[in-house]
Order: sequence, then structure tokens, then C-alpha cells
Amino acid sequence: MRVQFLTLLTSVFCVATAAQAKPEEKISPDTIIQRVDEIRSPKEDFKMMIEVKNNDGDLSTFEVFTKGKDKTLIKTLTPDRDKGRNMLMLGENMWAFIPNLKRTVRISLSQKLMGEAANGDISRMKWSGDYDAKIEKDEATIWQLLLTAQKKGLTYDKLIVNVEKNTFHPLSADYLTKSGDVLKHVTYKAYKDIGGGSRPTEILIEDAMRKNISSLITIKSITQTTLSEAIFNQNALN
Amino acid sequence: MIKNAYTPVLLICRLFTYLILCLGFSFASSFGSSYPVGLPSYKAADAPVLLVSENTSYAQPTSGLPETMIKREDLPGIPWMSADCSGELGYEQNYSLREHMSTSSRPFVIFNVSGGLNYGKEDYKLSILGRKETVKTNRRERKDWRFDELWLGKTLESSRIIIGLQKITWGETFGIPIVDIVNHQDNNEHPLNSFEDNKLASWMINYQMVTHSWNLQLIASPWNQQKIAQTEGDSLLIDKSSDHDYRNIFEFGGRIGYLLENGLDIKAFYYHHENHFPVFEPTLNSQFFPVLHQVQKEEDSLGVSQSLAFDASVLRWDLIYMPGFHINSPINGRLFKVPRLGSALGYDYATDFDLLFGLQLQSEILSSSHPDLEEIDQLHYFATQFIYPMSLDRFQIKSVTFFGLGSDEIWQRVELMFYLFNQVRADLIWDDIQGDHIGLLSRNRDLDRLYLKIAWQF
Repeated sequence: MRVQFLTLLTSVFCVATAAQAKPEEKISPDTIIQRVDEIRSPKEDFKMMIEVKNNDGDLSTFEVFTKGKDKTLIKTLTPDRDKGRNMLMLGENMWAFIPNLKRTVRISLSQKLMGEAANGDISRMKWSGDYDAKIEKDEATIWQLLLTAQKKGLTYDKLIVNVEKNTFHPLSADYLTKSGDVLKHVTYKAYKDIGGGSRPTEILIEDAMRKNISSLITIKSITQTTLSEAIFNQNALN
Repeated sequence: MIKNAYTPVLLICRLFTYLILCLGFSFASSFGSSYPVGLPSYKAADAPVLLVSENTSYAQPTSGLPETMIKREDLPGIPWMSADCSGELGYEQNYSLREHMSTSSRPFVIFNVSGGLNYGKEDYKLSILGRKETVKTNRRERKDWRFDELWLGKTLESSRIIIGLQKITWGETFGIPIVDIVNHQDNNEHPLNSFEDNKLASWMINYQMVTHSWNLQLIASPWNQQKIAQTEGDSLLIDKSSDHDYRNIFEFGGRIGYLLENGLDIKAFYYHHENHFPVFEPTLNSQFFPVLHQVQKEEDSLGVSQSLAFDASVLRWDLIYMPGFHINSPINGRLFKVPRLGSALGYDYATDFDLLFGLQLQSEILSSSHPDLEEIDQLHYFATQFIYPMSLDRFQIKSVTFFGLGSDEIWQRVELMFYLFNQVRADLIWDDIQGDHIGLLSRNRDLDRLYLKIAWQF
């Protein structure tokens, strides 16, 4: 019995030593960002209900349909004054249906959705493919990544994202201008099992200059589903 | 002056009637929002399935299961429907700045019912948008039921088809839309009203298809609402009996669009339609007086629309060519059929603090050397637009200036919109027109006005 115990202890020690001795496998920044994207939203088609609340208490709700990587339809549900203000994103291109004018007009991704939240904040929830990633800091539990826009027309030119190593959860991000000035500070929190994975259900966007101005995006539900291509159509926005 | 102004009692009675209608819709809407009709309890499913992708309604289980726990297979062949009701109760008033009097008043109620219908594996969408209104001008009173939408749509994998009464909007530019040619305008409405508000819905088959970067729209409009409607206004010489000769013209056409990698969105269109601008031929009436008789002509329009967004800017361009455009000479009223080229090039910029401003250059060219059309064969306009939403879109100020290059035509509009509460909206519009006897604004030159609209959205 004693011999068996010693053998087991020795084996455990050897395995542990071997594991420590093995050089840590380097993970590429692109892989990290892909894993982060999988955390932020499902890979396949999905529909989500979100709420955007400003620090002054103003509240809007949206229904967001996403097909593949670059097709998103946003329907404004409340408040009543904005109902019907639907938006469509195809690639880096965006259109909005303006109920007052009863017309669909072309808009830019950087135009504001509500408060501190830009259209691109909810319509484009994937960074891989849009941004070049570089590891800025590799700390014990966190990677700090610098993302630089590969394409024109994206909502932000640069991002600094802090990612938790063992879960690939994005924790916080700074959205920067081309020259490196911080525009917004973003916190990803309230991780819950939703839409087939553990995802942040609250995204707090704070103005970097005016600390008292913020918007909180709350993801109420994510439903994975198959969406018809036909609804991602400028003619179908009304 | 308005001869038969509302007495307070009459007004209160009418408002009460609208209120009852309105409350009826509010009551109906409280039952709306995606409740199935006559469904049993459902078993839970492993993965959620979108039942009606088009309008995003889900079946609601009566067993208390989360709505996302129902599979389409759980509902084989069971009729399923959802409905949303909303509406608006409001009042509009036009006040003529030139004549110092009210020229029209319009209490109205708008109701909107949209719903999804699922039968087995078939998904449909239905939309009804109508309005009941009483329009009282200084010449007449008109009570109307008017429908802007009454259609049934079916969504397939990459296409959808919509059949029924509907409005379709084409074009990218603001001001006087030049390629928005599918629906016709109601010539009895105030011409300075929103272009969309004055649109007449048409019975159409509207087929749309999307594939990768392409989109296609095909339209057939076999029956149209009667468009010869210029029964009041412009001239005593207009033959008021002309609408008896109305004939239906089969309108058809389509639009194909392609979105390039660099974001340039190009759409080319063709549409065969009845003439949009009212035209007249001189004739003798039954008393042998010379009168102008409004006539219907068939025309073809083809052109392109383009838009490109970059950073906070958007470039837009609309172009239309009509090989046989009908127009009366402003000199002697003679009717001509000439080629017409219309173009509008616009630029919009959105600032960080939400101010949106736009610039636009618009041209109308008639290819004719006839002296009767000499004054209107080339018209050029420049327009500016500022829109500034404040207080989270609860208040918005908008200003539009549209003026002729090389002519005295100027149209200035200042528009204030504010929400008193979340559901009560007020619009105040001031229109000032310095028109010429020719040009795009000539028909509106005496119509300077102050317009007020207040509406409760429910």
C-alpha cells in the first residue's frame, strides 16, 4: 500500500514537472480574436433582443437579426417615437428606414444609434476579419490586444481589448481614433449562459472625455435560428 | 375664409368619434404582439426555431414554456397568427401666409395592423395601413377612407413577394425626388406636403430577390387608383368632367441593384407608367367654351441611382431619362412630347454632435429646340438641408432651401418637430416660396403657408 502510494505520488510529480517543463504553446492574436468573437455572439445566424439605456434613464429596445458575418437587420421596437426606424447592414454599408420620411436612406456606420452607442456597436459584433490584431501585453491572466482596422468604413479605427486568458472573455476595451485618442471606454460584464454559450449580457459604453455620459447595452436574449436571406434587403426595411 | 367652420359642439362630437376609434385600436393592440390563436400547449424543443422570420413573431406556448422552446415541427398544419396594432390620432391645419386665412383642416385617425400567418410550413405577412380623415378646404369638404397599405406578403429563402395595395420608394436624393416614379401623387393634396404623404398607393405585384451582392425588384401594377384628380385649384379653364374619361393603364417595370466591394451601391431601373405631371389639351366643353381637358399619356422612364458612404459622409446621385415626356408649354399651353433628362447629385455629412447637413444640385433638361419650350428647356437648382436632432430625438429642427440657378425661384422651409411626451408629436412647418411663372416651383408659388400637425401615437 505504501509502495503504491509512493508510486502514485511520484507519477503525479513527474507529470506535473513534465507539464511545467513543456514550453507554453503560443497562441496567435488572430486566434484569440476569433475565440473572443465566438464569445461575443454565436457563429451561426441568430436573433437577439437588446436594450440600450442612457445614463439619463432614456431607454430603447431593438430586435437584431444577424446572418453570417456581415448581414444585420436592426428593428427599433421602443420608444414609440422611434418605432419602425429599422436599419440594415451589409458588409460595411448601412441603410436606415426613416419613418417620418417613409424612405430608406444610406447612412454611415459611425452615426449614432442612441446615446454613446453607435450603429456599428450592435450591428457588427465580430472583430476578426475587420481588424489586424497584435498582442500588446501578455500578463498572467490577461492578454491586451491592439486591433487596427483593415478596412475603411468601420465604426472605430483602433481598439485596445483586454481578454481573460482562460476563458477568452473580453473584459474591457478602449475605442480609439486613428491618432490614438481614446473615444470610449467599454466594459463587458454580466456573463451568462445565453445563445449557446457564456456571453457578456451587459456592455457599458462610457464617453472617455465626459465621464458622466454612458450607455448600457443589455442583451436580453439570443436565439440561434435560420434566417431568410430575403429579409436583409433594402426594399424590405419598411 | 372657411364658410362652414366647425362649431365647438360638432368638433367635440367628431373628436369623440375619433377617440372611440382610437381606443378601440388601443384595446385591440393590447391583445396584439404575437399571440397564437387557438393553439394547444406545446412540448419543449432542444433548439429554438424562428417561426415567422419576416416579422420576428414567435409562437407563444400556453404551457408557460419560454417562447424560444418551440419548434416549427411542433405546429404541423396548425393555423397560427400574430398581430400588432398601432395608430395615430391627429389634426392638421394649413394657414396661408399670403391670404391670411386657414386653407385646410384635417382631423384624422390612422390605424395600422400587421400580422404574420403560419399555416404548416407557409409563412405570410399581412399589413393594413389606413386612414379616416375629413379634409375641409375653403372650396369643399371631403370625408375619406384611404388605404396606404393593404397587402399580403410571402417570404421565401432569398426572395419575397408582396401582392396588394402598397407604396414603393425609389431614389436616394432629397427635396423633389426625381426617380420616385412607381406611385403617383394625389394632385388634390397641398403640393408642399411631404412627397410620401401625397403618394397614392397602387395595387401591385412586387417581387424582390436578393442574392450575394445583387438585388432585383420586379413590379406589375395592373390596376391603379384614378389619378386624374385635379378637380380644384389651378384654373377655371380645367374641364372638371375629364375624370369620366379615365382609363386604366397597366404599369410595369423593375430595378436591379449591385453593391460593389468599395461600398458603391448602383441601381438601374425601368418603369412604364402613366404620366406623373398633369397635362392638358385644349378642347370645347358641352357649352362650346374652350377648356383644358386633362389627358392621360403613357411614358417610359429609365435611369440609375447610386450611393456611396465613407466616414461620416454619403454621396448620392439619381438620374432619370424619359424618351417621351409630356409637358404643356408655359407660353401657350400647347402639349409637347419631348425627351427629358433629370439629375440630382447630393452630398450629406453627419457631424459628431448629430448635425446632418446636405447639399444637392438638381437639373431638368428637355431636349427640344422649340421656341414654346425655350424658357424651360434647362432648369438648374441648388438645395441645402440641415437637420439637427436634440434631446435624444425628442426635438428636431430642419431647414431646407431650394433655389433656382439663373432664376428667381426660392423655396425655404423651416420645420420644427417635438415630442411633448413619448407619444404626442407636434410638427410646425413654415414654407416660403418665391416662384416664377415657369420652373419646378411655379405651381406652388402662391402657397406660402404655416402648417401645424399634432398627433397622438398609440
